[in-house]
Formats: sequence, C-alpha cells, structure tokens
Amino acid sequence: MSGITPLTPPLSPLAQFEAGLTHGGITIAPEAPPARRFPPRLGAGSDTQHALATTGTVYSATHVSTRAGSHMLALIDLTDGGRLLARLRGETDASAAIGAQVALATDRQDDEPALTFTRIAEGAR
Amino acid sequence: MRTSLRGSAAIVGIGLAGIPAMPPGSTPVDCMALAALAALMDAGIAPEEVDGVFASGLQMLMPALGLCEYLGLAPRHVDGTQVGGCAPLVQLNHARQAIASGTCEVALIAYGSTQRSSGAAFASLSEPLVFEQGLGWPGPVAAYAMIAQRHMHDFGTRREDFAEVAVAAREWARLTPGATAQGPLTIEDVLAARPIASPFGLRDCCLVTDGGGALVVVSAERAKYMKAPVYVLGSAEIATHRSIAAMPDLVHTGAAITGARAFTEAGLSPPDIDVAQLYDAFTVNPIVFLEDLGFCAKGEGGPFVRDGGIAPGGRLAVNTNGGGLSFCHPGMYGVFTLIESVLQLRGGLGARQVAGAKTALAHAPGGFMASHATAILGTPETL
Repeated sequence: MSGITPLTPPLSPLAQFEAGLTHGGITIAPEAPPARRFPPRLGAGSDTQHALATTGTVYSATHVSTRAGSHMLALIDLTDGGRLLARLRGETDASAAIGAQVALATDRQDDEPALTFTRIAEGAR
Repeated sequence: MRTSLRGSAAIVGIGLAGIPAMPPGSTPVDCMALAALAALMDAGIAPEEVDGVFASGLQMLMPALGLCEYLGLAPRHVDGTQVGGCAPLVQLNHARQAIASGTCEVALIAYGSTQRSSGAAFASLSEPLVFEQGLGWPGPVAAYAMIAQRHMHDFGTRREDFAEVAVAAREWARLTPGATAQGPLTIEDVLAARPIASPFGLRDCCLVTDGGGALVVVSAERAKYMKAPVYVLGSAEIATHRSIAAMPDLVHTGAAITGARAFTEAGLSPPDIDVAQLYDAFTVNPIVFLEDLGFCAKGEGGPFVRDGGIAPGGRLAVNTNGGGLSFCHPGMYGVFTLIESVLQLRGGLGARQVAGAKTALAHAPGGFMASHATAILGTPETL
C-alpha cells in the first residue's frame, strides 16, 4: 500500500442499527458529532457507538392505505435528539398522533417491523 | 471575478412527446428523443448543431448516452444530473453556465418517461433506501403526506385547501388542449376520493402518464435573431437531504433559498411575476412553494389558494396547463414547468393565456423535497 490507508468500518450502519433493535435498543454507527442523525452514517474519526433514547415525540405522521391493509408511519423526535422514520402502532388518525409521547415497542406483533413505536399511556412516563 | 448570468441565455425551442402515453413497446429514450427532435424543430436548429446534451429520467441510468446515440450526437458537454424532479431546471442552470463559459453553444435539455405504458406502479431506478425498507414505506406520497400533515398541525391548513389545489389544476387543464385529465372535479370529489396516505386521497396525487419534454438553450447573442426567445433572468439550485428523516424541517423547504437567490439575480420580487408553474406532485406542494418563494407569508398558503386563489381568474395564475395533477405526470414533472412558462411568455394560448405575461417563475423539487431549483424567465423586454 502506498500513501493512505483505506477506511473500512467493522460494521455497516444498517447492521449496527439492526443489531441494536434485536436487543430493544436504538444504536447508530460511529460518527463525528453531531451524531444523532438519521439515517445513521459513518464518520472518519470516532469509533464511539451511540445508544439513543427509545422514547420520543411524534413530529409528523401519515396513515397509509393499500390494498393489503393500512398502517401508520411517523417521524419521531427521540427524547435525547435524533429524528427517525418508524412504524406507529395502534393509531389511525395522523393529526391526533402528532405530539404523542411514544416508545419503541418491546413486543413484536404479527408481521410488524422491528422499528415500531407505541403511544405511552397518559401519566405512565 | 464573477459576472451576472442574468439574461445571458435563452430558451429558443421547446418540445413535448408521448402525453399521455407512448405506443406499446416504446422506451423512455424513444419518448425523450422525440421531444428533443420537436424542440430542435421548434428552434429551427439542426440536431448536428447540438454540442451540449443534458438528459434525465427515472427509468434510465445513463439517459444522456441514450439520447446521444439516438440522435447521433457526440457533444463536448454532457450532463446527466439526477436530483429528482427538478433535474431539468438544475440542468438549465448548468446549461447557461456552460454557454457562458464557452463549453457549449447549443444546449439540449431533455426528459422522457414511459411511466404509464411500462405497467409498473412507479418505474424508477432509485437506489434502495435501506432505513425505510421494511416499514411499509410507499415512497414519495408518504413523505409529502407527512409534510401536509405537519403543515395542518402548525398552520391550521385544511384538507379543503389541498383540494382547492387539485380543483384549480383541473380548471386550468380544462382550458388546455391535450391535457390528460379534463373531466369536472369538485372539492367534494377530492375529499371523497379513495384514501392513499392521510391527508391525501387519490385526487391529491399526481397523474401517472408517459411523457417527454425538451428545451433548446443558446446564448442571448444568438437568441436575439431567433423567434420568441425566452430569457433566463434568474436561476438557482440546492440539495439538502435524501431521506425524509433527514429533512431539517418539514414545512420550510430549500425553495426559500433558491427562490431568494433567483429573485435577487433577476432583480425582481414575487409581485413582479405574471405566471407561476409550481411542481405539484401532491396538492401540498404549491401551498408550501407559494410561501417559501415569497408569494405569501409562511403558513398563509392555505388561505392563498382558498376560493379559487390559484384557479383561472384567481389571485395568481399557477400551473396554467393543469400541472402534474391534471396535465401529465411522467415520473418527474420538472421540465414541464419550464415548457409551460415558455408557452405563456410566447403568448397566444387562447383561454388559458395569462394576458400580457412578461415574467414567469418555474419551481420544482426533487426527491422528498430534497433538492430544489427555481428559474425566473422573461420576454425580451424584461432584459
């Protein structure tokens, strides 16, 4: 090799994110600050792994209707920063969902994606 | 040293093809090349004079190569910029820079699609967005729906306001020969349409058609001796994100930046604009663009379009061919905002003609409101 060393990460951002979800967490790949960005991306410096909050607030949402059924998608602002796209369980009214306090679902129902949030019951936080 | 490009280039040829559908078996290149030939014929310029090729499409990985082969061109300037629906506006900006710097003299900008006849729900070569896969993400409609939903939350915009945009587009389309959708459409029809992604129903979403569009651009010096040149008075482009999760703020878009830059360059402000073509893939788009481009204050887009505000006879003539909602929408609509602007400035459009139009604004986004380009065009007397 001459001159420079190729940068090769041990784990892709997607693999790290998916590994986190299997343990009920949201982790994103190493990245120079500000690091709480989605989609997660690689940085050239730090190798710190970031575990993010699994609670947040719905920033916006849409109820998607298809021939196969319907579901809610939402952009969620995580409690300690970071906005991600996720499935939102148990909601059909997007207007009412905006502003809701939600948490990453700890149980997986039917064929739900792993990245599914549910509303936190009033007063439960 | 930087000199202004205001008025340095002009659109001297325009062409359309394949609306609403190409014959079976046609390729996107067939459609694009046909539009390109029509534009060259309109300009009175022979294909062999083209020395700058700018091409885009959703179904072609290398659209510029396809177009060069088809027309037998070997240009010295090639541009296949792919930033979504505004690509042809971005390429217009690049073309005038290339003409000013001397790297080409005759720029051909072309787009083509067989979105309808290909039979696919949404034919695209887009790379997979891995963090959106598996969530049941239906693509652009969900992104724009979330923008609309947040606009309603922040500003009290109503579903009826979005419906106004669809109805206004249809009223313009009914005045436009060859527009794809010309049947009557009411606010009630839009509200009662099959739900797609809240708050949008089917009539809040653009058509799915084939179609191609092309422009020929030359220097102002050359355009002076040609019929009905339309000058580029101001132009700007920007790219801000790729995924909807990375959009900094759903209700403030890059249009605010490209609009301000284009207006500054043109030496104009929104009240100076006679006609506007605002890419309407979904009904929320013109509402957000009217705000971000400065035609009204942020949050006032809903009231602006209310009561026929952008319909024929309204406050501002917007999408005067019926737009992506009713004229055509072959995957990416950007090029058609420019073509309708040129047509309005040439005049003589009959019922949909904006009387005495001297200035036009075309604006298009790309991806999930991720890229933006604004072009302000004018007749010779605006130079």
